[in-house]
Amino acid sequence: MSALTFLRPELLWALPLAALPVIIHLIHRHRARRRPFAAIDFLLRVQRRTARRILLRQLLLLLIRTALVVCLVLAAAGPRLQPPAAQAGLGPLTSALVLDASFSMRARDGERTRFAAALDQAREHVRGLGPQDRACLVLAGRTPRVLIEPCTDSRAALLDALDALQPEHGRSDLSAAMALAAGLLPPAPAGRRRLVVLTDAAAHAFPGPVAWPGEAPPEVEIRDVAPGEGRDNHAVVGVEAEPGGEQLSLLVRLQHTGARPSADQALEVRLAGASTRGFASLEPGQTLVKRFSLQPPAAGEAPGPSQGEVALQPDRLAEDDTRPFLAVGRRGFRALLVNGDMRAVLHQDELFYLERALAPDSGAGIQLRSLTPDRLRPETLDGVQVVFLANVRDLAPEARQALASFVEAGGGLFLACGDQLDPQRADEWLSELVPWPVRDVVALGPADADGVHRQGLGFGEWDASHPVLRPLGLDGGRALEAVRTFRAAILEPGRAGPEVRVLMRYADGTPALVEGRRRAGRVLLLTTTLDRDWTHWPARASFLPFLQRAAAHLAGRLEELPEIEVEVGETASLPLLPEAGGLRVRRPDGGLRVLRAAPGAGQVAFGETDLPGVYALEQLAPGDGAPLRARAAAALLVHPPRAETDLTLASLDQLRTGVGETTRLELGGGAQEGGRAQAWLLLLLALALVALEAVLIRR
Amino acid sequence: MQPAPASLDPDVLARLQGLQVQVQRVVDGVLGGLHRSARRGASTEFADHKEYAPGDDLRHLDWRVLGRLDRLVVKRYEDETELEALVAVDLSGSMGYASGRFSKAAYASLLAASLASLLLRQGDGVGLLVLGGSQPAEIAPAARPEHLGELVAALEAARPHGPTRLGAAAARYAERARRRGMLALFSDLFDPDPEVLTGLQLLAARGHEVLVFQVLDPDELELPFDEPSLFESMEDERRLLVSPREIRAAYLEELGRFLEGTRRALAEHGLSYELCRTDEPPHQPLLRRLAARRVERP
Repeated sequence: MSALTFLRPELLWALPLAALPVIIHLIHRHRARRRPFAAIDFLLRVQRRTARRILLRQLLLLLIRTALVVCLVLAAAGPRLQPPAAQAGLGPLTSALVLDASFSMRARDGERTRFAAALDQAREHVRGLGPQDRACLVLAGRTPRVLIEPCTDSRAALLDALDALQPEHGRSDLSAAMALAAGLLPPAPAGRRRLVVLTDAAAHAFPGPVAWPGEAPPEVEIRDVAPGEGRDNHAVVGVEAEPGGEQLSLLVRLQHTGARPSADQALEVRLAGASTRGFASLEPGQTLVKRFSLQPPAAGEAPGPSQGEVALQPDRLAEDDTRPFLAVGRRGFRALLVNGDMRAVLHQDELFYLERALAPDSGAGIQLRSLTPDRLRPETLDGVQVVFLANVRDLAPEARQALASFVEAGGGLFLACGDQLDPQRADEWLSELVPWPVRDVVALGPADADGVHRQGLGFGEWDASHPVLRPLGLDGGRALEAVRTFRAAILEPGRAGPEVRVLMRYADGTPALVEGRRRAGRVLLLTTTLDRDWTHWPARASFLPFLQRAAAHLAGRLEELPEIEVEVGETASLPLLPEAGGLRVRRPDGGLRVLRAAPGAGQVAFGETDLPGVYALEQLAPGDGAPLRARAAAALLVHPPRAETDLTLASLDQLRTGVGETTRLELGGGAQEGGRAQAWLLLLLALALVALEAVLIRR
Repeated sequence: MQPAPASLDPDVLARLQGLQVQVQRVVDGVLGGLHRSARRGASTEFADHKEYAPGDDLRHLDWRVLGRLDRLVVKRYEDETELEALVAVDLSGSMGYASGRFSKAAYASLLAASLASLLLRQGDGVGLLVLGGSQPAEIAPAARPEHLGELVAALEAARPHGPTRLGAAAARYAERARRRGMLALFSDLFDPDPEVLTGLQLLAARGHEVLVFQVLDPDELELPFDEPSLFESMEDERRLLVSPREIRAAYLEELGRFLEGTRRALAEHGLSYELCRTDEPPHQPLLRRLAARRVERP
């Protein structure tokens, strides 16, 4: 004999409503209208003749109406006929409960999530266990977890375990979870074995055939906790930010799955306190791309991209209707210019061209301060990201020390040569900073007949992959080749630092631009001048972007960290700056994780992506793990699994193919596969009762 | 049948003060109806003269007498000779039922007085028998025109009350009536006493003309109620709690049998029968009856 259970047993409290027809009947009798009537003889005669039939008819009507209310209440409560926990002669039942904890189980049907509905059904199953029955518990999350093992007859233990469960944010592999759970059941033929899977039965949850342990798979009952009509879902499945010009272009990808269109859904993009709104209409199965143009985030000193959010009108699965994104805005920084050769005539000043190239109105977003070498103090470096030493002869020891500390902490230093630079003295005070000591100053190019080097040399080769020079090589290098330099410092052979890179050379091979590192800091050495004393470059168009990019590079503003986006549960490869020794990750729940790596490792793996949201990343210096000064911080975006946004119900064929021929699928909303009577039968019965009542009333 | 003038609508009539006024309206309506209808089957055997009265057929005016004596007299024929008529009105409790403005008692009184007026106009003697009610009355027949006032006063004074004793009254009248005459009975005939029919049949057997006007309310003919009702007898203490919808069909069937049985029993003994609804213009039952009477007695 089967047992009757209910999906929403709390609705059974409405059963006393079945007394309503009787109460209404009694009230009507009590309130019968008094009516003096002359032909009462006929009424009495008729009543005597028909009293029994009328009484029978009234009783029948009351019975029908009472049964009608009972049917409706039972149908609303979601009845299910289940095989009994124990049947005489067949022995006790051992059941393994598998709870789907995937992201899609967070969908809400009314006030309750599907995971909560699954928990209720699990509790109901546990409470319905017979005294000899046992059960165990498996949570189908990112990786299936056994919660109760071995199978127990302790209802309290099972219920306590259920009370502690929460849905996860990732995918679940129900096939793997079912195989794991089947392994907890006693081997056949030791009594009756049943696997009860509580899930939304979405097609994506059954990726493949179940690898059943043993020879005989258990009886499988898949209970769909989602209502029949609850399969429509729209989601934001992608956001791409394309910086360009004055506007930030945002491509938003929307997806809709289900059976009915999703019309006129409000869509909002929020970024840096501003928002833009729109609407989207999606057909079932459609992926739609909407483009938004936004004002890029305002320039600021804080490193890292700005976080924005796309929000689609919430539906039953609201957590995939918002999606964060990162937008890189223009970020300014401070540069300190040290003038080693100040002149009264403006255009002859050492900083004349430099200041104009980096001026705030140039669009570079750089705040400049200029001073002479004797005024350089440790405190003048506060808040500064880049220091330019232009043709500086010497610095006070205190200033030298401060500058060295500045660079080691991640500051950027640009050294330019000139006639003030004394190679002998420079070897003393610059030795701690310069990547490659200066040996001498030489003339470039062939000398004319009078011995004057008027022809100079152009740049012969350059590292086009370097972020500073990449745009300058776009025209095939003609702009750089056209530059003529007449004098340059030459570097001490054999004394190059360990991480020195020659980024540019003159046509004769002499280094023109050298990059070195000093712990977390970067140093660029230009072997010629920043004014027109030794080179014509300041008068060329390529000089301005070169200086702007060089300054931004030294300030860490040119790092083009790849956009890191993964789905919940995936391992992310987080990029490391060459000078970084690790990463600090701040999770969406506030938790901090520190990831160590050898300098130059390039990337580090991070697998704790169990929560969707923005994971803030901070590059750490090797050794003490201090945050790298002025280095851009990136962020990791973790999104809900896209597959989980498709709530489409698995077909019975898919289940029977993947799970087994004996699989029984109980659909949500009252219907049931397999021909067992459920709510729809009760509704049919209710309809029949209504028809019968109508016939009785007419007679 | 001509459509009834608006002034003869029961609702309009009921608003008129005094039975006498109402009677005048109904009589006018009857006379108008008679003048418009073809006179067929009238007897041609001259009997005597009578003074002309409004409503008399001008074709029967005796022009010779008018020329010789300058008097308006009309010829009367055999079927129009004076007769002694008794108008009997049932004013038992059940006749007090009213779904509209007219109770069955008021409607029956109006019909009875109107018939009496018509008879007096043609010189017939008319008496009144008030059966049951608060003031039972018996007024001997008389042919004086002013006699109508006495009849109307007696009808106006009586109120429906108490049980019906139609059977005994009919039998008593049958024994006392010395000469052939006419009895017009206005009642709902809800008296369960089988002697009613016996008494009426006895009268018919003795050559009396018996007219039976069964006056019923539309509620009694249709039982139109829906809500559960506590029906109370209007003549005794009987009550019945029932949902009218459940017994309507059986009730109408029972009532139909009763009406058909009554009509058939009266017809078998040559008694005239007319079913009157209190929501129809009161002159119409009289017109129907008078027209039928001409056909039945050529």
